[in-house]
Formats: sequence, structure tokens, C-alpha cells
Amino acid sequence: MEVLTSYSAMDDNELVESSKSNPEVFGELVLRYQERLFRFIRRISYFCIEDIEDIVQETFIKAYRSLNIFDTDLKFSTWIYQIARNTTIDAIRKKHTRPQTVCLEQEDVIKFLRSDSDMQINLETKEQLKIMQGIINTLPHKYREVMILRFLEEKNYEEIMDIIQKPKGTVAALINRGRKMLFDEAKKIKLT
Amino acid sequence: MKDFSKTIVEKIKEAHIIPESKLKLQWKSYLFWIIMLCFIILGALSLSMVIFNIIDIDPRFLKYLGLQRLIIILFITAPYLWIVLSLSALIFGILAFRKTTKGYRYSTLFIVSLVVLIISILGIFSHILKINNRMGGVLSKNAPNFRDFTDPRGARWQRPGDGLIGGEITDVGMDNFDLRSFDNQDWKISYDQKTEGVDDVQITSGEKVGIIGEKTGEFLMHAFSIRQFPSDWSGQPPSLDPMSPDQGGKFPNGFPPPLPPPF
Repeated sequence: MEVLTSYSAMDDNELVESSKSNPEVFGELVLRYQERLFRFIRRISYFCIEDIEDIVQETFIKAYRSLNIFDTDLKFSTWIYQIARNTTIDAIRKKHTRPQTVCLEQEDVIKFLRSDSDMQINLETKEQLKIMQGIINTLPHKYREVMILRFLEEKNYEEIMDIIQKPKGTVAALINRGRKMLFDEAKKIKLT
Repeated sequence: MKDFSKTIVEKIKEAHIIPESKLKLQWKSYLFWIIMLCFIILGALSLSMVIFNIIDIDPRFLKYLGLQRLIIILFITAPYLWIVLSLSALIFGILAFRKTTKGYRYSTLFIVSLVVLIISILGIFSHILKINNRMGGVLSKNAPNFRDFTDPRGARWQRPGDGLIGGEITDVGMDNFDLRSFDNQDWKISYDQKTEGVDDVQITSGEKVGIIGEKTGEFLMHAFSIRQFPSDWSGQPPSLDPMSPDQGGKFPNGFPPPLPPPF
């Protein structure tokens, strides 16, 4: 742990360079991103904690193998999110199921709705929060994924573009459509 | 959540995992770059063949044949093979670009514009360097049965009913000359002072010329315009020419009849 602490002053790019010759350094990158990735994977998949932990580990091993193609034009966080997303999609495919029963926590739902100033949805009671949670959880995966990245992971459009590997225009369209779907559903049950 | 940092570092050390080479990790992207390059070259060559076939039509066609007839001739003798190949190369080039590592970063409009621009520049360049001319020659020689598709210009100059005939001058008279058409029929071509191009065109035996005019009788044509072909152009006709006069003025089923004379 002491060894890892000594790397904490280095930035991500320096850690990547040093990790190529010394795997110990990579441990610092794991420390920095493991929790964020765990939360992200939990939000976009329906897996149990053990499965998510496996995916997080697989993500870091894949990242280590791919260090030579890490593009310094991207932030390390964007790159590792990209690998985590692809690894999660592979895991979902392996299980031959769709991530339909994904479950955002209630605090995620509150953060989700508060972070978007355009989304004026009133959540006054626990009942309303539960209904909204249900609506978000049943949004189609492609919309929910970009909205999670935008409003919960607080990524900007460029970062989301690199993470999901789709043009910026597509990212913007997915967020707008997802937001509209959410708003329309909330309107139906008079939460707006 | 557990702390994985030690576990992962241990795993990396135990399994002797090392960062893999760029080539191993990015071979797919390199492959898509190569595929894209191949499609761009194919697109450029096809486009140059389209130019090669279309540029055969000059403003005189419009003057003597009229717009309607010109459009119909163009429609019948358009280089469809090359047009289809150009468009296919464009589509596959765009798809290959999208599959490269950073292909997702660009909008479809940008990629389409870029690929169209590159194909157009290279296509025009191929035309200037006469690569299309040589390619046409090679194809005519090696695949004569497909000449109808690879070089529709031959068909274009075998339409005496529509006022177009091409061939080699075999004998020269006062105001006329004999022409052996590209499908080996002997025509008598008359011309006068009003005939365009006479002074610029060498009316001598052995020259290859194209005539825009009016059919005045069996194997007789009066020229409104005469243009010179390159001596190396074979101008071979398609395997079956629907307009050839040896069919006694009758047209086989499925072929369009000649258009009315120009106004």
C-alpha cells in the first residue's frame, strides 16, 4: 500500500507510461477508478455484485494488455469507461439476455433528475420517486446508457462520444430523445 | 466493494501479462484502412471510366440531336457498370472508414464528403493521366464479350437511325468520303461547308471519325458535324447493335426505334 501511495502524485498519463514496465504502478490506476467503474457497470447492467466485480477486474486486465494503444488525446477515465462498457456488453451477450431489469438506486434517480435543469419533474413523495425510478429503469438501454453517462457519471458529450463510440450528433440525439421519453412518461402520470 | 488493486497487480504478475504490441491490438483498424484505400482506388478508377464515357458527349450533340434525343441516347448508353462500381466503392469506403479506430468521431456527412472528394480528385487525376484510356483498352482487349458494359461509347456511335455513326475513313471524294463503321459496314458520308469540324478534322483514309448527321438513305448519311477519334480507339460496337441498317429498318423486340430527326 505504501508503494501505491507513492504513485498518487502522478497523473493518469504518467501512471500509464510507468505501468507498461512496472505492473505495480497500475495498481494506483485501479485504486483511482475501480469504484467509479463498479458504479457505472451496476447502473448499465443488471448483474449481481460478484458479476460486476468480475467485470471490473476483466476491464482492468484488458486495459493493462491494451496500454500500448492508449491514446493520450483521450482522458484515461474516458478510455477505461470505454473498455468497461464494451466488457459489460460482452458479458450481457454471453448471458444471452437484455439488460432490462437494471436497477438505479433511489439516490441515483434523484441525482439523475436534479442534474438536468430542463427536466422539471416534481418528486414530493416516496411513491412518486418509486414511480420515476420505474420509468427510468424501463427506458430502452441505448437511451438510459447515455443519460447515465451524462447525468450520473457527469461526462460531457465528447467523452460520451468516445465511450460509446458513436458520433457526437448521435449522442446528442440519444440524450434528447431519452429526456423527452422520460418527460412524456412523467407527464402521463402528472409528475410535471 | 472490494479493493482489487492488489488482486489485479498479482494476477498480472502471476500470469505474466504484458501490454501487447500496437500491431496485435490494432490489426483490425489497419485492415479497415487498407480496405478503405482499396475501395477509394476502385472508386476513383470507376469514376475516371465514367468521365471517359461521358466526356465523349460534347455540346454538338445537343445542337444537332436536341435535348430529348440526347437524354435518351445518354440513358441508353450510360456507363452503368462504372456508375454502379463508383457508388458501391463509395458506400463500402464510407463503411470501412467508420470501422477504423476513430471513425466514429466523424459525422456521416463529413465522411461522405471526404470520401467523395478524394474519389473525385483521384478520378479526375486518373483521367488527366489517361489511366482510364489505358484501362479501357486493356479491358476491350481482354474481355471483348463485356465491351457492351465496359465501353458503351461503341454503342453510342452505332446509332445511324439517331444520327450517330463512327468508323474509319476508307476513301475520300470531293464532298464525301467512304466510312467503314466499327461494325464493318460501308457508309457514304456527304458533307458541305456548313458541316462543323471539317477544317479541323483530317478527312484522309485511315482516320477514325465520328459523324453526327442525318441518315438520308441506305448506308448514306449527311454529316452536320464530324469529330476525330484517337487513332488507337477501337470503338468496337456491342455484340448486337439494334440500329444497324442491315436489319432492314426493322428493330428487334425490346430495342427502342430510332428517334425522329432533329428540328
